[in-house]
Amino acid sequence: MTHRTILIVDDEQDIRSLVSMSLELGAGWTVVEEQNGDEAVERAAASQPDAILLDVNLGVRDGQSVLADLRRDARTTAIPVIFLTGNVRPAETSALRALGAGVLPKPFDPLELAGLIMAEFGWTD
Amino acid sequence: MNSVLTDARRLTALRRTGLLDAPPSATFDRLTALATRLLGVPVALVSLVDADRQFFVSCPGLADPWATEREAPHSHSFCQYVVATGEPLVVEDAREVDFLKSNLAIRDLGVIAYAGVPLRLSTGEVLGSFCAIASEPRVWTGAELESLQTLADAAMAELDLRETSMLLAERETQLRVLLDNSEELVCSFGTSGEIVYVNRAWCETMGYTPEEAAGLAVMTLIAPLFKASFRQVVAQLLSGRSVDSYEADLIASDGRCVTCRGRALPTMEQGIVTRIDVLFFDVTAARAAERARQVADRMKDELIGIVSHELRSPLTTIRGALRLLDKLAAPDDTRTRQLTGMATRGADRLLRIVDDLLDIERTEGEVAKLDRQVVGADTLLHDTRDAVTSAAEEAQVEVIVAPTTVAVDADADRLIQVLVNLVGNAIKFTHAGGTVTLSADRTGATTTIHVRDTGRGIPPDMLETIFARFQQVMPEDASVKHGAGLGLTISRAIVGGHGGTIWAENNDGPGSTFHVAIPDRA
Repeated sequence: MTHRTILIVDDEQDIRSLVSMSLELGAGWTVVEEQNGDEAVERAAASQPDAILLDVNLGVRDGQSVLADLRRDARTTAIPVIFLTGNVRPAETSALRALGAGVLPKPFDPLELAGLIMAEFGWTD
Repeated sequence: MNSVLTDARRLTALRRTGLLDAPPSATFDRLTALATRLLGVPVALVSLVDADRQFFVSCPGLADPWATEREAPHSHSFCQYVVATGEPLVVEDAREVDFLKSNLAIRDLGVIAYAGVPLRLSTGEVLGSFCAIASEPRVWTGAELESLQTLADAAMAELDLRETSMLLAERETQLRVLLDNSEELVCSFGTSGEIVYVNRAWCETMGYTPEEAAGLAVMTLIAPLFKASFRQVVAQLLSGRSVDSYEADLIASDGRCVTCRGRALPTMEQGIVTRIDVLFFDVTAARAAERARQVADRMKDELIGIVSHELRSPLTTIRGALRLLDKLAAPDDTRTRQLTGMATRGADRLLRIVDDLLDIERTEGEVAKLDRQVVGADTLLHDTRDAVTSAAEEAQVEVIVAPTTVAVDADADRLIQVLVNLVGNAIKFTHAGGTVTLSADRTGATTTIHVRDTGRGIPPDMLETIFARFQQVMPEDASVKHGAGLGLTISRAIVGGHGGTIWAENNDGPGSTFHVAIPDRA
């Protein structure tokens, strides 16, 4: 399996840790953590991850506006993004997909997380 | 003869004139005065013949005590014969007439010559006589009798008028009693908007006395936000068209806002609107309750949404951590696996509750978005069975689909959701070796699907309450059977969204049957 680097942007420490452990243990990938939506663009520009897991509810701001920041910045505009959301209503998930991002509903199975990300982006290796 | 005098209808009509024992009436006095002059007689009477007396409405020239008492017994009455026969009575000399010669009127009132014409109402009852009296024998000329008849006609017209106005007064009293005992608020106003009538309910609600209300401009009672729509309503009424349903806020005398709902009708006279009648109910309390219920419903739905959403993050970490813990445990560490399994099952149950709560909120919010198609019930029943195969095998319960050719007009996905829930419940509460049978039939424009099990049945007092949120037949069911008690609530919401009904019955034998009736779209 190709080695990947994933940036997780979530204001909850436990979710970040869970994602890190899941991907490191389950797939051997590298996970970079960021809790602050305002820092997400710089962190992404610096680490150049293969994908960004972006929580929709970041406390002070929402994931949609962070996505807009990422898309505006030339250094991060092409990095694929998956929203993490507890809101599983079809209307909400399709609205998120319409922004050009994937959607991963909470809760997810940590052992399947890598597979879900690969499936979302069509990564086969 | 007596029977005519005591006829109940006639006596009632007599009383209704309001003339018996009433003070003298100028109208009748003018007519009798004219009679004395035209006929050259000393006495003329308007005499009403009661059951046991005659009463003199007008009696110029009559001697006392009769003139003062204004009545005489039948023993002193010629007029009673006019009433009894309904014909004029013309007498030249009463002393020579067999049936009159012993009448005491001759001796005591000095009646010798008499000419009387019946006073007959337009409704037919003869009330009395208009008569001329002389104390000397006399031959009545044709011209004199004609004059008498003309004066009697005028008296009868007056009597009819009194009857009509009496009727009108009675109607008005009746109407007023009805209006004042009506719970509906009634208000009438003229074409320039001034109030001309309000009933008691209106006064009580609006805090005005009828006197205070009279003359008030109706527009001053309309709350500012409703003035524009009220002007439109008035314009429609003034054009002669009634308004069947209108709702507006009024301002009561103490400044209270009164929400009213009702109708308004124009009264037309010769094609012109002369008055507007408004009838309405005070719906303030009902509207307030409705608003409170809407707010409560919205808050409840929002709360359910937020709680469900907020519960997902901690559940993600709990389940995720347990899953990783389970993976990291040594292969022979069964105790750790047992514990993580226990905690995972608990977390899974919580997650199901969260999902169900979300589902209820979604169902209640989205019933209008059902995607209904006419589909074969057979397909739905088989799809349902397929969805519960593994649960049925695990419980060793056989799910049978009875062949059917009927169709159902429904959102297939949501109806299958309902049926899977019902069959899932049936499997949970049916012993190994039992059966769950799915069938469908059609009556009129309604298709009904039945889910019949051979399980433990439902206590009769719970057949309805099981559809309420978080209801379990047995308290321990929640833990043993892994249900949150929301499935039937969701099912009822979905079926209700189809305009249908869902209910449960106990079978004659063991077990119970759930019925889902879905009517075709209109």
